[in-house]
Amino acid sequence: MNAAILGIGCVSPLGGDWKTVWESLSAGRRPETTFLSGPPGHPAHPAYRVPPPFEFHHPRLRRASAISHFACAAASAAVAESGPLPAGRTALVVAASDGAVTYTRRFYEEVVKSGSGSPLLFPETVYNASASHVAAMFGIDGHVLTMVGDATAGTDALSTAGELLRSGEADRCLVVASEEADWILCDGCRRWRLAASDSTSRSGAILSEGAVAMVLGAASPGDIGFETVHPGRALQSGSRGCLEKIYRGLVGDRPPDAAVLSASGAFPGIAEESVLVKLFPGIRLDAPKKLSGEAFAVSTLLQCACAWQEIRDGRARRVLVSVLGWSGQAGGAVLTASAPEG
Amino acid sequence: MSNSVSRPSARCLPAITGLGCVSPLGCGLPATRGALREGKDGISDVRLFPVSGFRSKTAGQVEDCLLKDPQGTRAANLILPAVREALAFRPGFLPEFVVVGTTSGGIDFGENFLRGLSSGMVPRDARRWVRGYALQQPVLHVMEELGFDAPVRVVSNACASGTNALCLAAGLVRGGAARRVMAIGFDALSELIFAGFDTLQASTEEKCRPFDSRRSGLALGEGAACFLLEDFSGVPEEGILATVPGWGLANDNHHLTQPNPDGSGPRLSMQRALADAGWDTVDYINAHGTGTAFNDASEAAAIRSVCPSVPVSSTKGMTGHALGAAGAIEAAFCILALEGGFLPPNINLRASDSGLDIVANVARPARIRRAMSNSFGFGGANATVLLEGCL
Repeated sequence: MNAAILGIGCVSPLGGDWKTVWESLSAGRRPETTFLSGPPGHPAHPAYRVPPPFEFHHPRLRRASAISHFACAAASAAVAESGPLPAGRTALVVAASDGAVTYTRRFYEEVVKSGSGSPLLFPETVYNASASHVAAMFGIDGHVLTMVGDATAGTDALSTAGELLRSGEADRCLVVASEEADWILCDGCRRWRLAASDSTSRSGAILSEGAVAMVLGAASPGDIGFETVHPGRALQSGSRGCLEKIYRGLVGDRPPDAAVLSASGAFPGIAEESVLVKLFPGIRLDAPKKLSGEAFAVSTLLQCACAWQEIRDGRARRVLVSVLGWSGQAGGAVLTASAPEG
Repeated sequence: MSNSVSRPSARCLPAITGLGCVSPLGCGLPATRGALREGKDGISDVRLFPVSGFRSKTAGQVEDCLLKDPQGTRAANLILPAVREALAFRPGFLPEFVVVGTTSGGIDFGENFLRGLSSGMVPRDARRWVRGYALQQPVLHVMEELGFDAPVRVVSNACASGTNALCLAAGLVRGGAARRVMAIGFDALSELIFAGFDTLQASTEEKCRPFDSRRSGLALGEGAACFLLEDFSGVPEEGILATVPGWGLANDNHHLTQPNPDGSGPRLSMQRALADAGWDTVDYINAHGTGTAFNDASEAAAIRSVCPSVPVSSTKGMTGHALGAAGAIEAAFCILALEGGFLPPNINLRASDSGLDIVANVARPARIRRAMSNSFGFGGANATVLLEGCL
């Protein structure tokens, strides 16, 4: 196994911890829909929000964006489960797709309207702001990286973490994904025909927010973790053939028992199910994002957490996680349990 | 380029076998080399957006006539010639991985979208703008244009991103995860970021003067640099431009936008790089040197404690600060310095308060073998890469 999952933390519209989120997903519950208002004359857009006010208390977060609060809360829960991070031997890899989009929008709106923006907003617009806060919270002073992309930023972060562990540059790696929903993000995705116009729409996803964190480390007997990770690559033309190649490369000769799909209702997920069924007839498929909504890299880590739970609960032994990003990238992971002792 | 490289130890040594560079100093290596030698000032009045409301009015800009692709973002237009130039060194090079450092991706598309919404209009090009805004999209666009495909890894560690990308790419080669990797650092000048540095009062109203006792702040810049990396042992010596023997990362956990004044983050980053390569010192340091009081003081303190007598220059007085591209562009400058036998100048210097051997105002002839490039960013992100030339 490449890396075992030693702790999971989660902040989601479905709940403030992984156990609650998993129970909600298992029960088929969706979060409550919130409609985000935009400028006058523009439609409101549906989204799944972490119930406000959400605040993780830490001196670093006094003026921080929502994604930084989500990231710190999820990271804190994951570390509480895994045990203390080894000083000087821990890496942090944060995955993000849109960063602090609310602060970015507000800052640029101020610039457009008045010619200058608030110096309090600008620092949080950098993509690595969340990573900076998480690193400061845990005193991580070595590899602190922020990987950005579509949903495959999540697999890329996991892949990077695996490389840091394998190379001996770190003994533990804290992987965190965090996103926040904002009207402008929903509006952009709606214009791209990826986001749904309302919560009952059968076409398009509902955008979501929150954070998932995982502590990764060397596997002990019986630990559950990542056997392989594909960081993601562009599908471009011939997407079905490329997807097949990615899935075959991930699972090797042994078909998985189950797959956790990235399907969230938007068109990039259409090919996924048919390719998997063709490759692995009879495979059990789960699509948690149809309930939890689309939160890009966060959703990728959420899918991995679902796979971890399936194995932990004895419902599967080897689970494929399929990740299709909205900018045409695809990746994935295979999770399994390491051999028990003896 | 001449070649006589010391053979590495057992582990893979990442070798740079292709290089391309686009910056305010010029498009391509010949123009860049000449501009570096003559200490060209690449800073000019901002043309891309109105700056009447800002304190600062200047930036390092790449000449528009060099940017050709009307479908791409400005960022894609910066990346394309850099990648083309790098690939010309190794025709047929197909990367197994593309590692990218940037802070803002296709930000001009995002700005267009928000400006459109703010004006009450439904932007006609909204879908293209939204899609093009994503950080990875300019690189995906260039890859499609040039007809190659590989996993794209985007690291966004503020102003350390370009160096991070080069280090991550080198790490993939050294760790045996890939044999051929492309590293790209890029960022395009944008109104949002220009306004951001202006509101922080970090940008200068006159010239950018790194390490000058009366410095007044940074000038922003833009550009792209591209590196092809391969395992040293698999490349003919005449195809090697430089090697990447080591690198170091450090996070100083002090403040979101300010470095620790004691220079502990930069110091740790440089020490880790030297330890990684097994070196005691280097022959030249291309400093992060933004020309802001906090950064210059912190970095100078770190250099004084790690490599006190090594010649240092910041090239940002010539180019401006290209953010996510800066580390990549400055690593390219180091390779040109190693190959060309000169130290690039730290222009606009009147009197330095750094206590360092600054290469003041004019390039210095020097046969050097080992160079260090520093990049430090918001969030306490510090990265140092070492480059060894082929004397």
